[in-house]
Amino acid sequence: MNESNACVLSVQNLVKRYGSMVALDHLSMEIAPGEIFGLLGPNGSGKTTAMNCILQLLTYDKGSIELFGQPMSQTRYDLKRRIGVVPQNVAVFEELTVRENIDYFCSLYVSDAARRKQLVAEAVEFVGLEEYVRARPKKLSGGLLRRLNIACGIAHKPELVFFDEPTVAVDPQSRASILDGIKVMNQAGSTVVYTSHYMEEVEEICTRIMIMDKGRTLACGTNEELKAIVAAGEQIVIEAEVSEAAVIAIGKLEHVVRVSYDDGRLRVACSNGQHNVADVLAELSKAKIAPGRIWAEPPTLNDVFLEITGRELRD
Amino acid sequence: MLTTIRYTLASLVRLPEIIIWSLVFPIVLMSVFSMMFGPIDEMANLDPIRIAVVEPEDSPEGEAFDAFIDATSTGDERLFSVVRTASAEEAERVVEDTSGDDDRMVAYVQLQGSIPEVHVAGDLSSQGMELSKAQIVSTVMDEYASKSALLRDMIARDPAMLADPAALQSALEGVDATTQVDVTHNQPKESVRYYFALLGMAALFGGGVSLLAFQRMRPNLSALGARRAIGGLSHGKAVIATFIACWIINFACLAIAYAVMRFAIGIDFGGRDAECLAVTAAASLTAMSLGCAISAIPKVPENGKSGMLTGIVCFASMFAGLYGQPTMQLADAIAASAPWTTWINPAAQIAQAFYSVMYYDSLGPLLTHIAALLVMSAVLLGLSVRSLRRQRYASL
Repeated sequence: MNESNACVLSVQNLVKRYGSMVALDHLSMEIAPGEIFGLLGPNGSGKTTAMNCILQLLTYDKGSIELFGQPMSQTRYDLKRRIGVVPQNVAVFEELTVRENIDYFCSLYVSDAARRKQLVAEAVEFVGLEEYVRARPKKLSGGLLRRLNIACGIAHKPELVFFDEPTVAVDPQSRASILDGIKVMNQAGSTVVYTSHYMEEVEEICTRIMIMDKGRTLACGTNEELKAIVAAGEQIVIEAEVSEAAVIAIGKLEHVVRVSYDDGRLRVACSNGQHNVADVLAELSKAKIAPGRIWAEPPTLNDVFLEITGRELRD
Repeated sequence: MLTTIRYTLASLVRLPEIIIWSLVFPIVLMSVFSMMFGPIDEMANLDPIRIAVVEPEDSPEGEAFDAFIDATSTGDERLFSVVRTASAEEAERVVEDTSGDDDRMVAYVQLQGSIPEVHVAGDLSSQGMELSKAQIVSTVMDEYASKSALLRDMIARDPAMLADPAALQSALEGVDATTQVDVTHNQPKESVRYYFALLGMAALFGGGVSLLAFQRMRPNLSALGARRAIGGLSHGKAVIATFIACWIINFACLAIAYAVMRFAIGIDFGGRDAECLAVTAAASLTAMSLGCAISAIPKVPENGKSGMLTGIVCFASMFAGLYGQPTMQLADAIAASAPWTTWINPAAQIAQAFYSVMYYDSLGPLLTHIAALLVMSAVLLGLSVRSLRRQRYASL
């Protein structure tokens, strides 16, 4: 395949078994240049396993993996030099300083010392660790450690970057900073593969999303495309004291797909009816229930996951 | 690759356990050995024997005796340390006054006519060296008496001999029944075996450096290992760089320990420091290979591997003779009945390589032991190759 029009990453029918357990079940994906591709799924769905197979850390039973139009193997260092990896667990030398760590990982890709010096300085600035360049990792907070982990993975300005759950155990401020950084990198030309079980993050930054569960692809498309495949058009939320009989009655309304009542909130997922809110309120009125606050939410990726698997994404 | 060496070095030397086991441990043990063995080595050296000499009368015999005493009590290899006294009473008092000293005077000498009389102190200890020293004084004075009598007799019979220095020299020289030949490069010391065995042990404990370093390279053992494995540097280069960094650390620590042994403790290798550093370099190579091979053993947790290294090193050091006289005798007995056990024992090979440097003029024995260490390194690395080459795992 000609590299100029090739996918940055192409995975075909990848199968990975751990004994009798199938961790990846004929997983396929194609990622075009410039995308931020999200791998979304609950813990244990196979996201990290897929990434480790692509990176040649794990053996796999079947399938093919191509990077930049060329077959990937454990000795394709020319291809490895074009990718960056930000692993889920912080992976740095405790004994080296922030600058030394970034320089070391950058040196795995860039041998020219002068160029590396510039790249390290840019990476430090990119993640905002200027004040900590001489600090050892144990002196850094969790959020700063995550930023160091990112700097180590992206300092060499890779064409394709894998982020594996980079915001786990990170404070909201650092999370926002990390997500903004990924968008900036993408705008600068890097293609991104982003794995997460946080649907809000994936919705926020990814241009295309693959939803995984039990090693299989459940759905793949843009945010809008995925939401279009679910029956639920909107979710009405009403704060009220609702009886069980009223919940059952509401569930029987024409356009109601699902209904649940929890923590004083009635959640009604509806298909695209003309007057869903009025119908639900009328049913509450019949049961002599006075509603409190009422609002409607568009469907989320969790609804998509729920629709396909019958389980919540965070179950 | 140079950057990998540099940062591997930096990360390892900042680990306290590396410095403790590779550097502090051998230096502390050497200091302990120095305190233990210093007095023993000191005993093996014969200091000049302290005696008092009563000034002889002005006579040809007196002048000759004076000259003899001067000749034996001056220079670097003098036999006696002499205090001259005016009378026998004074000499007796001087000898008595030193009775409380560690190195007391054992006798005084007074020339009677042409015969020196040795008056040995009456309360000499039957322990230690005092009686032996008194015996030496008597023997030397007897020798003087017999040779001066011989000369007088010869001159009386043939005064012309005085004009023939060669004949005089010949008459004065004794007939040697034996000839002293130095078969070793240096003066043997019992204690050096312990220092050599210690250097062997210290070198092998340094295997912990490579054990740790290679554990940290394995993707299946740590997130850091996995992160490094997916980098753009070829795995072969990464392995070589790590090995070189480990070797540099171990070699530097051993070289410092050697310098302490050489200059602070005073083990003299007769100016063969380059040969000693070659042994140190080969020992480091073997130690790094041992650590590497142990790190390659599958399905053993990191603590188990550290314990395995410690066990192997302690066991090997026992047969290098580190743990005292009984184990040294046991090691010698085993080496005599099964010499191959010495050839496969890296601690013994390191110790014997140092021994060869110290005691043999020929480089042959040294090169043989270094070759043995290199072969061991090659075998250990060969055993590790499959594991070292591995980059992908069925599970992480």
